[in-house]
Amino acid sequence: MKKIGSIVEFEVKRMLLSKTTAIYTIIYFVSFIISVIFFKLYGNDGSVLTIGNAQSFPIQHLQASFLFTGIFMAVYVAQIVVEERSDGTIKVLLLRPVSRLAYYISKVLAIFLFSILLTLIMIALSYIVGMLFFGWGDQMVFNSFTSSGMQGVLITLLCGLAFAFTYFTFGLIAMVISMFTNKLLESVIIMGVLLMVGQYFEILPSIKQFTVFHQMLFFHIDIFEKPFAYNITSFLVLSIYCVVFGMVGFSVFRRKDLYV
Amino acid sequence: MLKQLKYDFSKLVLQKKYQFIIVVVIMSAVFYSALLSKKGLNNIEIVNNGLLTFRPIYWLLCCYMICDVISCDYHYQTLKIIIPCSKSRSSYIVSKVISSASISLLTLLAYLLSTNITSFFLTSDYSCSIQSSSFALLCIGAIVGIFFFESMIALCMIVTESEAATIGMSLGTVIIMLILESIEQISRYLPTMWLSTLPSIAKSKSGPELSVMATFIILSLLLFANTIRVFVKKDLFA
Repeated sequence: MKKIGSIVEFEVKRMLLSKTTAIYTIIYFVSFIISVIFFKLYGNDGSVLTIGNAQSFPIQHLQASFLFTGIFMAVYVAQIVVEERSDGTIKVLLLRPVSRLAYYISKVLAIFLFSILLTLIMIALSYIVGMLFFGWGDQMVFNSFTSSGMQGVLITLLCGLAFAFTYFTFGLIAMVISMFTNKLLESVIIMGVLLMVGQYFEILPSIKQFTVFHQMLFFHIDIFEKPFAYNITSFLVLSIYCVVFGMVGFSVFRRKDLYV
Repeated sequence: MLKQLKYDFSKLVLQKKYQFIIVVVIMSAVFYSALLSKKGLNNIEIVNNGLLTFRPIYWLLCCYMICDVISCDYHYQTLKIIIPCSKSRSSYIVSKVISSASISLLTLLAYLLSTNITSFFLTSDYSCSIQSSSFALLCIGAIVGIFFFESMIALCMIVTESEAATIGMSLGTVIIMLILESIEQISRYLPTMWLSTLPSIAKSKSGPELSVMATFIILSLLLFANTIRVFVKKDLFA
């Protein structure tokens, strides 16, 4: 457990201090600024925003960052899985008394923490951009749901947690893909094309709830809009994805030849 | 320079993944054109609709191929071996840019030709096939976009020396442009759109769009010159 903790601690430091995280922050910031400009120019029709205030800004932007967050997640996963293998640094780690299971669990935890970090970056940046351009506002509006003050912030964070969970699931799928690729770019582009194509599941109402892409787009909205039973099904679908891809990933990693 | 180019092109020809991408693009184009022809669309409508759907995926593929060509020697840590074989560091970069632009353009040509040929046979509408001038303009539009992304990717790769940062930045930029495309007023000024809108821009001889395009070309050249300047002075001996 201590070994897992040490590896996770290292991963957290790496994700916080890497150039990649800085680039993601800049890209999110630019996209939020574009959204503000669209809202100011064209109102509701030209933006994902339904109301212009800092309280509503983060929660209304989560869905719009589907492609960004999916791609960034895929890049991070490929970075920690493929790059360590191709650079040979994984051998250094496994030569110490660290089992493959401990190593694998630490990577899964790192993916979970990264999905939380990305969500927090997005929420924090949205609040800053919202405050700069609109001010705090009277109430938080999210589809048919309204709230205000501290309760609104907590609801945004809850929504962010649901959002992060779906991207963690996607990260585990990316991890399995990364096990089979030898280059970071290959893994990222496969996941990027899957994200693009995955959106077309929305035209199949009977199966869309069972796809991770639908959950990435709607799970954080559905928890406020859909009945409890529907959300339990969605949660189970995501959990099954996590368990299946987590186990498949470990099974592949356990047998992987790392000694070349 | 020629030696470096020959080396880069032979790498492109021999690596199976590029052949795989082109085959998949051709198969998807044939399949999608057949699907559209069943809806009763004519030749030009099939090409235009197909291009509209293919464009986002094409730019993702372009980013991948450009990043792959440019970052290859960083990834395999072969830069120290390759550079002394090249005439100069600038010729190395120029060669990478030409080879990655060629493979990106070849992918587009494969798509356009397979869409055109399939729709030509399936619709039997011989009167309105796409004109060669439009075809050339589509390619010019794509080249301007490709060159813009290449200059950004090359600069990011050389400054950060990180594949993850480069692919994150390039795909992020493409996605931002795809978001901007949804606004009609500015979509005509975006490099990702020119591969489908340049024929109509050229037809209307629209000044603002052409000026923006010229600005993007100048910006790309400046970025590219800066990339060479940074790369020439870079310590690659560590």
